[in-house]
Amino acid sequence: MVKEHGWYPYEFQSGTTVAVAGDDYVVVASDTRLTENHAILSRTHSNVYKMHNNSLLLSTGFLGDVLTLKKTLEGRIKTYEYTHNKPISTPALAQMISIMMYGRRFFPYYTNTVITGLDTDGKGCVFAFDPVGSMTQQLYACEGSAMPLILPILDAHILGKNTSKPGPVKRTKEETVKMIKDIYMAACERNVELGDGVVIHV
Amino acid sequence: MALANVLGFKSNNEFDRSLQCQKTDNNIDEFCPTLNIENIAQFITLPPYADPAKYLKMVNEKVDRVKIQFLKGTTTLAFKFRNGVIVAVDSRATAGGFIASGEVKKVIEINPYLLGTMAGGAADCAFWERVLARHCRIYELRNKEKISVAAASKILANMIFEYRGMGLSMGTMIVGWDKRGPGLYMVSDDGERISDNIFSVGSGSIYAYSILDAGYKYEMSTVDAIDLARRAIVHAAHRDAASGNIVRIYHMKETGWEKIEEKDTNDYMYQYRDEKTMNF
Repeated sequence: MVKEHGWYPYEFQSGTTVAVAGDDYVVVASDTRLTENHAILSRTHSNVYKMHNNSLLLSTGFLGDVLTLKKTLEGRIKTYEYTHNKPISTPALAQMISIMMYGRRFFPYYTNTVITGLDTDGKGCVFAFDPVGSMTQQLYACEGSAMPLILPILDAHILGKNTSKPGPVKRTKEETVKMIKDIYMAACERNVELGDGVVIHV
Repeated sequence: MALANVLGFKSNNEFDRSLQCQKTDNNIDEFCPTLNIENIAQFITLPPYADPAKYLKMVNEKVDRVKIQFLKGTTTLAFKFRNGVIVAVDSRATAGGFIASGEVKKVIEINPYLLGTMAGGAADCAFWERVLARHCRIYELRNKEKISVAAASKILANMIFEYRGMGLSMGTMIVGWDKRGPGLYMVSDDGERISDNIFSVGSGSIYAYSILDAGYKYEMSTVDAIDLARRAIVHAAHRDAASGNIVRIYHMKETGWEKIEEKDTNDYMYQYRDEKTMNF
């Protein structure tokens, strides 16, 4: 492919991640394939990162930005803990991420991140961000290369939208894990960048 | 701040109260200079290349499968009438051709008597309106009275003007009630700030304007005004691919804003089709 001579700092290397929030749990899954333009760089690289305050950060996109984001974030979480004498709660962390990512508005972190955890009442919460930090709290989130494939399935299964039995469906932890496994297997069949393995955290 | 509490920092001296204010502000800066966003210019890192707007535009169009797409908002409207201001928004966010979310909160509640709407880049609007909320709160604490809508919108317009030409994208409306009555200002990313009775912003605004212009009367009752706003959003959602999902309506009164409803636009469209009525 002929490319203009220039500076291209970004590369799309991700896999796919899924997060689903329940009443008192959050199920998070990521595939383990790392690609770079049809070459596979790694088969055992998970996109889920554990943060100090027991939240999980899922990040897909450009690996360099993902790792930098994680590093800076960990530093700021520690600062928060030392200045405020308590671990940061997930909604507060989400707001912090939003502002941090906006700080790079003109040279964005090329990542689609999702932060998940239990909020102060113990309910599961999922916050999704766009590359510049626009934050939205959702019941479930899916980011990455197979997002267009998986998201409609999640819409149908979780919210019961546009199905013959409309209305949100309540599930237990185990049922959600099983559902996510099935969804990943289905998406694998049809997406080149997905495959190798799935890591599921609850 | 918690650190101040731990250290036992007290400022009871009424004689230098304003001096203390100044000192505390400076101390906050010292505690964590990089985390404080009082100096926004320091906080937003300079990009390593010359023209952010052009570069971001290039990255938005595909370069080797890399596509940074920001969430963009779509149809919002607000109008003044006899009993205050009605604000109505849709809730769809698109990233390129993909619907990223159907439940975005496009009305940002700055404080109980000020609302800001979001159209254009979601992150831009959310961030700058949060900064605006902080300025409004500090004004209120320092001057012991609520900030006027004109002042709030001016603060926002001035902040954005500093970043003019760098690729920010926001068309926001600041709505509030102050001493002069209801206030409605539209602030856009080129630093424009105008006041008028009817505004609509976003990709679906052309459709919303037609409904609004046809049915608007200053002396409307509240029920009629809410109905007009609802119809405008629903019709815009019907014809604009990038608008839709849920319509949210807020009413700004003398006592502050009140959320009227949030319902699905498709349901309303079917209802209007069945009724076959247009009140104007």
